[in-house]
Amino acid sequence: MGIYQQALLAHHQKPIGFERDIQATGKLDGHNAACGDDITVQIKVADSVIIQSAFSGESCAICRASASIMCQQLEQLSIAGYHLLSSQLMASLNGEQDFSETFLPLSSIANYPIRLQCALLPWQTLDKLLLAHQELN
Amino acid sequence: MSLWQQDFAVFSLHPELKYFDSAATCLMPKVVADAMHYYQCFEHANSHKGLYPLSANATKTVEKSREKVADFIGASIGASNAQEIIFTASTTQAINQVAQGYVKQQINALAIKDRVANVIVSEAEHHANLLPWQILSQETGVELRIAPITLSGTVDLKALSLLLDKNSVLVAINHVSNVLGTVNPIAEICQLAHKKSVPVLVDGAQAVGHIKVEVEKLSCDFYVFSAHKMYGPTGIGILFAKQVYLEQMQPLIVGGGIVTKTSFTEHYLLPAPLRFEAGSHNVAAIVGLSTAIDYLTAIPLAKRQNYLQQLSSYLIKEMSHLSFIKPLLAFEQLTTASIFSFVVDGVHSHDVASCLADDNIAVRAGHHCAQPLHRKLTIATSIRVSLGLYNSHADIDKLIISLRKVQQLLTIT
Repeated sequence: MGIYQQALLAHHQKPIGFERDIQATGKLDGHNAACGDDITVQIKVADSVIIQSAFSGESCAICRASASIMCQQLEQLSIAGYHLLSSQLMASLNGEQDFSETFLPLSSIANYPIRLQCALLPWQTLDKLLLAHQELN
Repeated sequence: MSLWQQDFAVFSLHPELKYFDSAATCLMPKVVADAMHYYQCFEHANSHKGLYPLSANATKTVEKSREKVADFIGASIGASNAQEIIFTASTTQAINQVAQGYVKQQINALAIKDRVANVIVSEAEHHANLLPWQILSQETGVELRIAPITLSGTVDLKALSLLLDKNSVLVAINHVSNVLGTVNPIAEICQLAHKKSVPVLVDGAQAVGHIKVEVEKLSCDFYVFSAHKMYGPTGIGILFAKQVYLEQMQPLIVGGGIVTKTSFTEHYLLPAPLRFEAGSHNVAAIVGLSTAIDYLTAIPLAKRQNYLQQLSSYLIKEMSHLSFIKPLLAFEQLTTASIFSFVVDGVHSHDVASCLADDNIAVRAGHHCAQPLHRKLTIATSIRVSLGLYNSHADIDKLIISLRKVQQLLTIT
């Protein structure tokens, strides 16, 4: 089945960071009106480095897999490093560059524009969360 | 195999397609597309304006189509006639026309008497029959009353009668729910409303072309529908309104082709229906609608309905064998629906639809422009399967096999 590659399904079945218990310094809800996805992203940040991350909520397989990949990459990543990673995903989904190995499980989504928002929701939620974090600090 | 599948050219290009999204838009028979193409190649002209034969023919085409529509929905019997048929761009536009052009006046008339008017809709309305009333409510303060539905998915008549009072200015209700597929008892609703002198608008988008619709017998005051949900093209809809309301209603959109006389300061409108059809008519789409009516009437209604009823029963039976399928209405309530909405336990609706798409199966996933109804049913989204004349038992078998696959693939173990 085209969009649901094995690698994506593996993240959907066993998501990294799903309902993980962390000492969060920030938390934000994200909603995708088109699809009805609702997720909550949590992070623990210290000295501009993301120490821990977690997500929860009701979402489609693509959103869930994308959030899992995000949490997999976040540990000990600087905020600047996160923004670089996020922009790489965006560029790949927009067809502007090849998918790196990290994002390969999401590569099939580029062919389904209507589902892009599902993949982007965790990242957009974290963008807003980090913005709020920066404004507070 | 459906007797009629061969009439739809799309299957010659996509023989594997199993199309279950007729409630969103029906596929178009080739004969309809051909008629529109012929008109655009050889007969295209601006109707109602030119003095040359091509334009006169276009005018004749529009007016003959108006008569055909009137006959098709039983608006040319009793006191009704073809002049009560207004061409609009869509069902949505037709409802907005009634809201802004007629109901708003009634609300303002009551406001002068210090009375707060109310409009009644049901819990199961498409956003097209909800947002125009919400906007009116924001603009005028009219109270929007929501009639509940029963467990069988139709409007609760007792509750509706309690909502009706001397300040009610309209009941606006669907004939067939675009989510549940249930058929509202329109004649009874009209009887209830008319006892309190309240007119009734019926959103017939999912009814016309699928079940028998006779507006005169139903006794409704306004009836609206779209061509593309009955095997015609997009861009053309119908507003039927009784003469008495047409005389009071003001056009929502004004411009060319609707006046007898205009100066720099004032204008005098033509009588209905032309006063409500400002701008150039969408003649190609009107030709499409007219041909779709010919296509449908060439097949006896009982034959079409029996076929879809058999398919529907088979669909419901097969679905009821899948333990992971949770219908929005209990299976025992689903007797006649050619629209069937459900969720797959533990799998997001969009994932189900995407997986089915990979198997060339087209269904709708989401809230189907009926978000409040989904909220009431305490779900965010659902999957909708809606049947058309091109569907067959084999299509349903394929759907069932694919749904089993989806459940195995995506359920979290």
